Amino acid sequence: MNVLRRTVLLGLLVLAGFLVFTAAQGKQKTGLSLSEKVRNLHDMNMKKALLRFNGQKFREYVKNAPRNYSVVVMLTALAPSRQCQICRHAHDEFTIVANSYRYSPTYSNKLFFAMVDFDEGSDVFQTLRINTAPVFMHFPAKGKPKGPDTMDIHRVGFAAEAIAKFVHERTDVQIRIFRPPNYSGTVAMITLVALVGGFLYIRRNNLEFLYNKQIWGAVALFFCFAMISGQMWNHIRGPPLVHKSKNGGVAYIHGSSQGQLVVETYIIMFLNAMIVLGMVLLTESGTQSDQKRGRIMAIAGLLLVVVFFSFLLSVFRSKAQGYPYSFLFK
Amino acid sequence: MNHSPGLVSRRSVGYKSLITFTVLLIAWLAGFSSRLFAVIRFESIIHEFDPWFNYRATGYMVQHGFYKFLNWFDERAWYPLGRIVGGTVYPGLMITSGCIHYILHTLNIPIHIRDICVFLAPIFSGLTSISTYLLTSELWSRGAGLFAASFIAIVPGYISRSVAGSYDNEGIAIFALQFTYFLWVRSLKTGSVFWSAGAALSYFYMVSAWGGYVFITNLIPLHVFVLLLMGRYSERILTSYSTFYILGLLLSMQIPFVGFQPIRTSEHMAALGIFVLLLIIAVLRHLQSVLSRSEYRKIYLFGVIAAAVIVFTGVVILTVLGVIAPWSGRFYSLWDTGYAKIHIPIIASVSEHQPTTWFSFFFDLHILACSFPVGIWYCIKNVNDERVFVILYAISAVYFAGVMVRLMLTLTPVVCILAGIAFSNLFEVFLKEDNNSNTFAHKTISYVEDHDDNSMEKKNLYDKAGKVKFRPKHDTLHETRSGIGSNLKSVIILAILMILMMFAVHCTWVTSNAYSSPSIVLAFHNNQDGSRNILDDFREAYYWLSQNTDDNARIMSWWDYGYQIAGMANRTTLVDNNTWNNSHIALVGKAMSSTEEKSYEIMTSLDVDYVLVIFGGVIGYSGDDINKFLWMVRIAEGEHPKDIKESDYFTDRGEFRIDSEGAPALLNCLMYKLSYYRFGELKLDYRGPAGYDRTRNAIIGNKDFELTYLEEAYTTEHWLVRIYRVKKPNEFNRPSLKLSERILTPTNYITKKNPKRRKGYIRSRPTVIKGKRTKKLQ
Amino acid sequence: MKTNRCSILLILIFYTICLTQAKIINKNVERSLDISTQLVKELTKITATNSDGKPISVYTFIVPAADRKNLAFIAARDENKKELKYTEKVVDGNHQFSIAFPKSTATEVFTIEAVYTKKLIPHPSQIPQSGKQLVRYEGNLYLNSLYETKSQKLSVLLSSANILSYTQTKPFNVASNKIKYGPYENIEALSNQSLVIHYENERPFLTTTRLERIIEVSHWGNIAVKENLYMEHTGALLKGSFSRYEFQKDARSGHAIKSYKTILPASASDVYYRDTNGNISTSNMKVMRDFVELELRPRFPLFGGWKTHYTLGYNIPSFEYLFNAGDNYQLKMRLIDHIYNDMVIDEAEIKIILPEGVSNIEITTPYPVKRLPNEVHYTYLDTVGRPVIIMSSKNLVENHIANFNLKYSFSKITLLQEPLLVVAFFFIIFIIAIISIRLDFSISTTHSHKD
Repeated sequence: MNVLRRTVLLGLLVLAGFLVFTAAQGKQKTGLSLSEKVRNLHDMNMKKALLRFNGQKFREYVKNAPRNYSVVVMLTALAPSRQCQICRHAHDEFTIVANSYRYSPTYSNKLFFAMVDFDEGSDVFQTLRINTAPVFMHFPAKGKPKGPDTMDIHRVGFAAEAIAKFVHERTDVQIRIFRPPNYSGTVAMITLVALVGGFLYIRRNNLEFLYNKQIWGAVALFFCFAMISGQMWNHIRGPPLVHKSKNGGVAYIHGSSQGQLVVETYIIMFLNAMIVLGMVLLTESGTQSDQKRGRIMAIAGLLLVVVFFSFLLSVFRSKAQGYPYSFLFK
Repeated sequence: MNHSPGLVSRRSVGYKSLITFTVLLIAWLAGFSSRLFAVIRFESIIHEFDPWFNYRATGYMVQHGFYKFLNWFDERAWYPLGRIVGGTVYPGLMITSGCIHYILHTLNIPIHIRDICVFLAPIFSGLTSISTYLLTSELWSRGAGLFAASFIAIVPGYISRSVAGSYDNEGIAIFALQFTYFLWVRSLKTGSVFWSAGAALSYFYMVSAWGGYVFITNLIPLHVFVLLLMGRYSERILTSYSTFYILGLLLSMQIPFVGFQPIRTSEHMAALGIFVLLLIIAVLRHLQSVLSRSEYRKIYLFGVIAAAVIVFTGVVILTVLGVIAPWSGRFYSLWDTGYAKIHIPIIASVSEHQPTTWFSFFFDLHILACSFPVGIWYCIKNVNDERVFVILYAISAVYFAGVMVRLMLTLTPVVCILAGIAFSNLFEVFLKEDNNSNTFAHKTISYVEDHDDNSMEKKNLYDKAGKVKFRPKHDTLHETRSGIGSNLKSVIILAILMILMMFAVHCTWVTSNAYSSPSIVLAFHNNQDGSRNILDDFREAYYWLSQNTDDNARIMSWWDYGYQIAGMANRTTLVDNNTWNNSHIALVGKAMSSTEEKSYEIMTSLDVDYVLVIFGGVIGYSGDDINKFLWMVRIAEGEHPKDIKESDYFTDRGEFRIDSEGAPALLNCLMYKLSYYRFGELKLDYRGPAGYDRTRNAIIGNKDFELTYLEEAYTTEHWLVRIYRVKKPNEFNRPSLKLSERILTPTNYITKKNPKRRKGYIRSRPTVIKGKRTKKLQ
Repeated sequence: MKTNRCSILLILIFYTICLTQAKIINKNVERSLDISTQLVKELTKITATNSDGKPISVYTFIVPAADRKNLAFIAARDENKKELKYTEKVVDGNHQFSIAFPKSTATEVFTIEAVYTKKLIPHPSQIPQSGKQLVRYEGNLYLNSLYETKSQKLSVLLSSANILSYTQTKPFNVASNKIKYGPYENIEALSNQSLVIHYENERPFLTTTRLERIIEVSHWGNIAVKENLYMEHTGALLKGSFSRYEFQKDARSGHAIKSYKTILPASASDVYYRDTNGNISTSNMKVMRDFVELELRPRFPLFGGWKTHYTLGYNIPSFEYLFNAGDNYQLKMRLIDHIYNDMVIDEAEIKIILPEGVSNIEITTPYPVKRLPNEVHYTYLDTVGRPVIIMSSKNLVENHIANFNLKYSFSKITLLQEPLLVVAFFFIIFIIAIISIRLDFSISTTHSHKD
């Protein structure tokens, strides 16, 4: 009986001791050695170029002291609930950078790319006192990140090239960006060609419409209108659709001669088209066989030309300060 | 005089040719005189920046002769590298004015070369309008031609590059362009070797004059190609194109600067491809005539496919092998519009390489912009070989003009042609013996008159398509003249003439307000009494340099002013507007944007004697160096990312400000110190605080500092130009540099460009952030 | 000094030789020395008598060799301001100007005017922008004379009362910017007593290092004058940096030359003032009754050692300067003209371009100048070219502004040559145009248009 109790006691003691030991073991095990960290990171990198950290891992690999590698971390909030649109783009760009680094010859264990999602590591955001996303931070191999270690996305944006440049500035690692080739354009082109070709094939018995000058003319004219009304400028500069002026009103015409709004260009396009139409009408009116029709066409054409040209002029005038001339109305 | 035979139809000599002649003469005079605003307001002086180099080069050629010029090594530019001018310029401009100078002087007419250079562009504008007339009358009718000539004489889009004093390639290139196109169209119509050889010669002139000849080399093959697609192949095309291509190729390779590009670069490959294609088709045609139908079809299919494959693969393979250089950056930036901004900051930094707003279209073309589609419409409606050409010309030019402001220049002529066609159509409907508008100004009279003649001309100038279309038209016209009614007619005519007059007025206004400032002499109107003050600080400073510095002193300044310093002060510069060596420019940018000590090392290593900065803070001149400073930083950062970081020059909130909140790196960089040295003590007016910068509207942040390594050598009356002397190492208490430290690390000299660009490919006009036009308009 | 001493020995020997000869004495000498500008203007009034009552035929005035190169102008006049002829020769180191008197009497009273350039030496030679310009004058207290002088006075006129140091040989007295020396009695011949004055002189020390004056005569009623000038500030050099701020703060920064006045003939029209970079917009013109005053501002203020170069040109109607009797013409114009007050011209080159086809040219100048071989100049519509007369001279001052006189003959018919040339030219042009329009040069008669 007491023998049994003793044994149990012993057993308990042993167990306790073991427990203590294991606990001790465990506690000692928490701080990974440098080599382990690097190995783990490397292994993780084998799987994914962009490491996804939660708060614990972040502390483990980024915050804690023994490091001979620097980490570029993107703090972001990808969860749809957060509805952060930029974060998505930023994430894509960042992944591009990470990948192109991962598969570049300069790849080494000196630099890792990682990201922390707000919903997985909100504590990280608190510790770093960050309440916006996305934020790109560089954690140098030694010492704490300083001011310039945070990328100023407001100025340089977060295009892959910009990030690569930032990385190059902070850690002298040149990364050449390899964007996954974007096939959408080519696909669209191919489909277009296919459609046209198919169309021609169907209509092969009468290709008369190819010789239809009206269609070609319309296309050419449309192209000209598009160019003259500055669609190319819109394409390159991407201006807003309309301006919201301070007093709540909506401005369709950009104030200065330097800029323009999308709606504005459409208006101009329309005006130009009307003027052209008017002139064509005028010219055609001479060739009409019956008089009434010709007369009507002439009048209509004249009105179109004069009215819309004066419109155009007044729009121009409103943009060019001090332009003296106007037609019909100011 | 040279044109009078061209004007006259073989049929009838007489009042028509007289009218044509008068109109063209008037157009020439009008164009010439409307380009003289700058001369009348200021004086006969070379404008802006690039013209100063052209003027200097011309002077050199006139002085030393042509061959010396061709192998002129200019050691005054790009110190210490120097520049092989003969091999890096398009000599057409210099040769032209040189020839004029030579001829005049053999006739004992001692006109100074400066005046020839100043007035070259306006004179050539007259030639341009004549060649436009010729081209248009080939395309449509002589009436339309007269319209086009009158339009292009005064249209601002062309004046902007050809005012008196802007002595630049474009001035003569547009004439060459139009004339080449005229000869091409003529040769296409006649299919005669004579005309196509003429086209090749004129093309040669164009190549020698302007880099824009690439436009021709691509447009004409495109024309031929489209003609082939439209099944309009004919022996005439074969003759004229093959003659033109071969001669043009050989001739264009005679220009040293062009050299082997016509067979080495992909800009020129289209021409070659079309040439081959044309030959193949010719062969097939021949076979068709000899072979039977069935076997011909096989051969035909085979041949066409083979041809396409061969041409395409050939070009691709050669490109891959590197025999053919890929598209150069500037050419590429026409297609991928975002290209320059990322890869070539220098190109992006030039304001003329921005896309075009509708405003500038209307600003430069006025009514023509909204009426030339009508011309296109009618050209398409009754199309023929040469009208295909003008359509393609219009479409491509309008695209390029949309991409780059400066290419508005190539759009303007075709717009004038098409608008001329549109208006002449319009008038000839309503202007049958209506003489009710003789009360109008000269030009409009000419408009009125030339309609009676173009309608008569039509019979022998129109091709079949036209005739078939127009014969009935005339008849209908005759019966419906009463139909439209003369009152309505006259109303319509009055309205149209009104609009045309507004066009003329607009052109004059734009020319006088936007395009007529020499930008060397600044004039501003005094608000109090409206008197006109002249700021002559640039010439003051340059003349000081030329008189009171050592003859081979090295002067460091930002590249915008290189040409002017070389031209007016005749001193050695480090960088200039021929921005062929990015790294050298970056080095200067680095010197400007780093602290005094660091930049002193750079300056001594480049043995700089004087530093010149432009500072507008006193008079509120917006185009000064502080406003350009960010570009210096960017370009410097591109080459020296370690030492210069753009972010250091911004405040934490990402602003660029020069007051006390400004970034320390900015407040202590050389450019800042040189601009604001002793400015902090200056009170501009009694109420205002000391050191108030009128351009940036701020009180400068770093006020009282002394310069250690430089001393103020001269500052102009309105502080616009400030010149500093770099002290010699023994002149300040500081151990002088050891020789080892004077040598730069060689990395600074390795340019990261392909050999093409090292030959001075980027010839960007340097009106950086000048905001001239906007300033004029606001 | 040394030269003087040895010369004294020589002269003593010379004396022993010519004791017997009659002996001229300077009874009274009044020298006035004006060093208030960059020039040294010396006016000497000499009363000379012959001891033994014989009339004085020749009086010899001497200038030491050291001063000869600075001597720009010298002239002798008798009481009633009549020019006296003189001949120059060098005797043992001294330049002797022997003045001959037309009607010689026993006592002659005459004045000798001499102008020296570059005799005032800035000291110190370099001053900062705000510094004052100090100069030294060194000369002889006594008149350099071959003859014994009974009594002589010297009065020196300075530019300012700020005198740092001056020779103090009693008797003398100083009133603000004047120093009076003498009278000194019984001065031996050729005696030398150095006179040194160190004082402030803020007057512009502006030198025209080179002047090219081109006078183009046209018989269509116009004479075009064009002057290329190379200016240099030859005062104390600027030490250290130039500060625009300082320059603007105190308007008077003494020795800097901001502007100066040029005086043109009254009838001068369409004046231009430009340089290699074009028109210099900073100048204004005042038309006075009998002259035109032009206030020229160089592009930049001139400090010590700074140079500038500009071109000044104007037209004057020919009837005021060109006179003719039949086909013989006579041109009377100033050889050089006024540039600025108290001007100094190191070297001048004067070109006179005459119309085409003039013959037997002869020129007389007010003072000897160097004639260079004629050239030929071609301009508008010239065929044989125009003869160009070239003269050059050195070290000129205002006193040299005087008329030259150019005679030539020219037949009026040749005037018509150039208009006829133009007419013929246009005639030919029109003929060509007419022919080329009327005739059809095309080889084949087939119409060019086959489509």
